Amino acid sequence: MTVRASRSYAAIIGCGRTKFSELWDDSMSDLMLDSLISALKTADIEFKDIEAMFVGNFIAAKIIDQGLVAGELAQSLGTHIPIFRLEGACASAGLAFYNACLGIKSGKFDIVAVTGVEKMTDRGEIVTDALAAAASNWERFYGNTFPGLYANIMARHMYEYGTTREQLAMVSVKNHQHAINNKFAQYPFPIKIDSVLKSPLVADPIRLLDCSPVSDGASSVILCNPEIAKRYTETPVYVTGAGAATDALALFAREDFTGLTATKLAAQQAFTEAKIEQKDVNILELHDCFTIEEVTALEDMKFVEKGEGGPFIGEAVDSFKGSKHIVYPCLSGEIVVNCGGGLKADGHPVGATGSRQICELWEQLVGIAGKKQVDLDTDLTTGVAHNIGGTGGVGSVHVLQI
Amino acid sequence: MSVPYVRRNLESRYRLIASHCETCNGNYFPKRKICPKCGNNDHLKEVSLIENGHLGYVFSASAIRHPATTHTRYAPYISAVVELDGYKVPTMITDFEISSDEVDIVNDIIGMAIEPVFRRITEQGEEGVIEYGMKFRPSQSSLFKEYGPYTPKKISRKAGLVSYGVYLPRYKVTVEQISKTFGTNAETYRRGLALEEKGVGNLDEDTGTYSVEAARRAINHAGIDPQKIDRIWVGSESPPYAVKPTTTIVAEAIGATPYVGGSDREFACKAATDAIPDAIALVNDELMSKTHEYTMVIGSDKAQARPGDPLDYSVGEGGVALIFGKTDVIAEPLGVASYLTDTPDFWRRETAKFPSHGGRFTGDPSYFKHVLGAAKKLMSDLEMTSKDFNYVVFHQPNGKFPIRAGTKLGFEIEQIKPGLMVTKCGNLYSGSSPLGFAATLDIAQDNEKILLVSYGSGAGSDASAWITTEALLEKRERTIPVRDQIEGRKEMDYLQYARSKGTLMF
Repeated sequence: MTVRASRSYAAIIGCGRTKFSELWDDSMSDLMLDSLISALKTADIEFKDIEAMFVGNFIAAKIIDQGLVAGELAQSLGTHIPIFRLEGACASAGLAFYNACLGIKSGKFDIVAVTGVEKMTDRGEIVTDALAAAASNWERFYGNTFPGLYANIMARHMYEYGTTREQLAMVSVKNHQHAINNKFAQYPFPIKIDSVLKSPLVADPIRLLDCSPVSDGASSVILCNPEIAKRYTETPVYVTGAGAATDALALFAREDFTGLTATKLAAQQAFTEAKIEQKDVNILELHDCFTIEEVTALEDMKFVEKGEGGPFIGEAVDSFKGSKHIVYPCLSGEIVVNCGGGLKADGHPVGATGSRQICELWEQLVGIAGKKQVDLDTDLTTGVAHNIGGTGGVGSVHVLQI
Repeated sequence: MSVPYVRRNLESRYRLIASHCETCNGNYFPKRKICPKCGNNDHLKEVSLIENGHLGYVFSASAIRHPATTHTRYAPYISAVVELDGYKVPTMITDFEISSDEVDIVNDIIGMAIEPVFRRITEQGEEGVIEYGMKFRPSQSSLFKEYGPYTPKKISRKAGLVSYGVYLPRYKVTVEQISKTFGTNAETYRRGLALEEKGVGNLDEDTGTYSVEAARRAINHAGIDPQKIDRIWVGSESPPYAVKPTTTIVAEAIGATPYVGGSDREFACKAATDAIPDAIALVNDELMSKTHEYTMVIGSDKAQARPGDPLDYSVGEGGVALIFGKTDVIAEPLGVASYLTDTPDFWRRETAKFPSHGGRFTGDPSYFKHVLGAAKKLMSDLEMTSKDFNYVVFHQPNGKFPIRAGTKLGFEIEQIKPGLMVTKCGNLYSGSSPLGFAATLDIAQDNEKILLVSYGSGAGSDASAWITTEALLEKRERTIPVRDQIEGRKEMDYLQYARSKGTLMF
C-alpha cells in the first residue's frame, strides 16, 4: 500500500453523472438513479456492494415538495441501507462527500456512494424564492436575492480592488470555452466577452451571463476503503485532504465580504492534511456560481494575491490562442480551473454540483476525460474541489490525488 | 414571512436596535444575545441606530431587477448593506430612480451619504399584513442642524404646542403633467385654483410611513424621550388598513410603546385638528396630567383621487405631527372653537375605491360656511379681529379658497401667504392646515399670533388661536423647514405617479 493511500480518507473508484440541463422528462429519482448506475458501472460493482449512501440535496422540499429524500431514494432502489441526506445549500454534495469520507475513514463502511441531486426546473416561478432560503431572513426581508447578494460582493470587490467588469466577464468566456468538449454540459458552446457585457441585467452589476444557470441533474461518486481500492481499479484516486468550514449566514454580519472565510479555512485544512501547496495543484474545480466567485475563490485559496484575481484572469483569458483549455499561470505552476465548464457552462443543479466537481477531477486524474482531457506539460497528479453553500455560510474543499 | 416573525423583529426593523459590546467594543446589528467576537453575554448594550443623527454611507449594494415573488411590486429596487457609525445594516436604498441602464453601483452608490426613512417593505398579498422597516435614501438638505435630547428650560403652567414635525415626499407632479394625460387645459388649474404642482411619495410610502417620519421629526424638534409621549392620535382618511390602527405603527416606530394610548381618527381633512383640544386638555387636566406629560396629534394622508378627476390635480401627500405639553412651549393656545353640521360634500362608501364629491357644492354651503363659522365664533369669543393676528392659516383644498375665506374675515394677503402651501404641495387632507401652521411657525417670531382654521368634509371646522414664545426661536434649528423640503423635488410623469398611487393596474 502506498504512502498516499495510507494517509488518505478514502479512494474514489468510480463516478457517474447525468447531463445538466432542463430535463423535463426526468424526475428527481430518475436523475439520482441514472447517475448512480453510471457510477456503479465505472467502478464495476453492483448496488448490493454499497453499504451506505450520502445524499446532497438543497431544495427538493421547496421545489417538488419532497422532504425525506433518503426515503425516496431507498424506495427507488429497494434498499434498507443507511442513507444520510446532507443540506448545505449549493455545497450540499460537498458536505455529503466530506461525511462519506469520514464514514470510510472511521472504519464503519468499506464502500459507500455519494449522490448529489437537484430538480430545479419544475417550479421555475419560485426558484428565486427557493434559492433565497440560503440567504438570511434579514437579507430576504430587504428584497435581496441570490444574484443580488453576490452582486454586493462583486460591487465591493470592484470598489476595493479595481476589479473590472471586463475581467469578470472573462470568467464566463473561459468557462464556456472549457465546456465545448463536455457532452454533459448545459451550455457546450463558446461565448464572446461582449455577449456577457451586454446580457440582461439581473442584479446590477451582475448580468445574466455572469450567472450559473438553473439546472436539473445528478452526479454520483463511489468511495471505498483505500486499503482495498486496488481490488476494484488500477487507478484509484485518493482523497488526501478534506476541509469544511462555516461563517455567518448573512453578508452584513461579516467584517469583510470581498472574500469568503469558509473558503480560506476549508482550503487551509485540506491543503495541510494533504501536505500540498498551491503549486502542487494541477486542476481545480471551483465554485463559480457567479463570475465574481471564481475571482474571490482563487484569492481565498491563495492561488493569487488578494485583489489581484481580476487582472490575473483577464490576462490569462486575453492571451489565450489555443483550442481547448485556458491555463492560469499561477505562482510557480500552471493550473486549469473548471475543466468541464464549471458551474457557469456545465450547469448548476445546486445539490449535485459538489459531487459533479469530484466526478470531473476523477476523470481528469485517471485520464479518461476524453475530448476535454486537460493537457499540461506535467502529469496530472493533484486536483482540488471547492464547493460553497449560500454566500459562504458553509464551504468544503477536498484534495484528490492519484 | 409570518405575522409572528414580523412582530418578533419589530424593534430592530422599526428602530434599528443593535448591540454594542462594552467588553470588546464590537458592534452588531440586529441586537445579539452573545457577542460573536468575545463570547460575553453580560455587557451587551442596546443602541438605536436611528438616534445617532442620521449619519451613514452605503457599504455595498445591488439593483435587484428580478426579485422574489414577495417583492415584485416594488422592483426594480436597491438592496444594500449600509454602515452607520461602525454598524453594518441590511436595508434597501429608496428615493433613487432606476432606469433600464445599469446602475453604476461602484461609482454612484458605494460610499453615498444616506439617511434613514421608515418605509413599506412589502405586503403579504392583497389581504395580508403590511411589513414596514427602515430603508435609507440619499441624504439631502433634510438633515437637522441640531438633534438629540434638548435640556428643558422652561415649564409652563398650561399646556401648549411643544414641537412640530413635517414630512413631505421628494417627488412631485405638475398640473401640466396631469393635464397632458387627460387632455385638459393646465391654465384652468393654475389660474382658476392656484395649483402648480404637488408632492407625491414613492411607491413604498403611505399614510403610516408619513406619520412615522413626521412624528420622528416632531420628537427631534422637542428633544424629548418618546417614552414620555402618553397618547397619540393619527388623523387620516387614507390609512394603510381599513381595520387596524396606524397609531400602533407610529407608537412602535418612535419607541413610545408600551405605556401609551391613542387611536386613529377619521373626519376627512379635519381628522387631526379635531384632536388638538383633547391633546391640550389631557395635559392640562389635573387628574389626567399625572399620566399625560406629552400628547401627539398627527395629520397624514396619501389620499386617493379618481384619475382625471379635479381631485387628481390637487391631492397631495405627506404628514404633520404636533406634540403638546408644558415644557418649552413654542406656541400657547388662546382658544378653540368648532362648527359642525351634517353636510355631505365629500364621501367614500366602504367598497368604493375613490371618493365622490359634490363639485361646486363643496364651496359655499360646505367649506366657506363651516370655516367662516368656526373662525368668526372664535374671534368673537376672544374679542379679536383680523388685525390682532399676525398670520392666518386655513384648510387648503386649492389655492383660491383660503384667500377668499381670509378676505371675507378681513385678513390681508400677507397674513395668509406664509402658510399657503397648497400651490406647491397639493392638499395634504388631514395634514393640510397643520402643514400651513408649521410653515408659518417656521418663519414666525416670538409673541406673534396665529389663527388656524381647519375644514373637514361632512362637515366641520376647528378654529384655534395661538401666540408664539421665545422657545420657538430657541428650538428652530431642530426642525427641517417646510419650504426646504420642497426644494429639489424630482418630477414624476403620470405613469410613475399612477404606479405610486396604485391606480396603475398590473
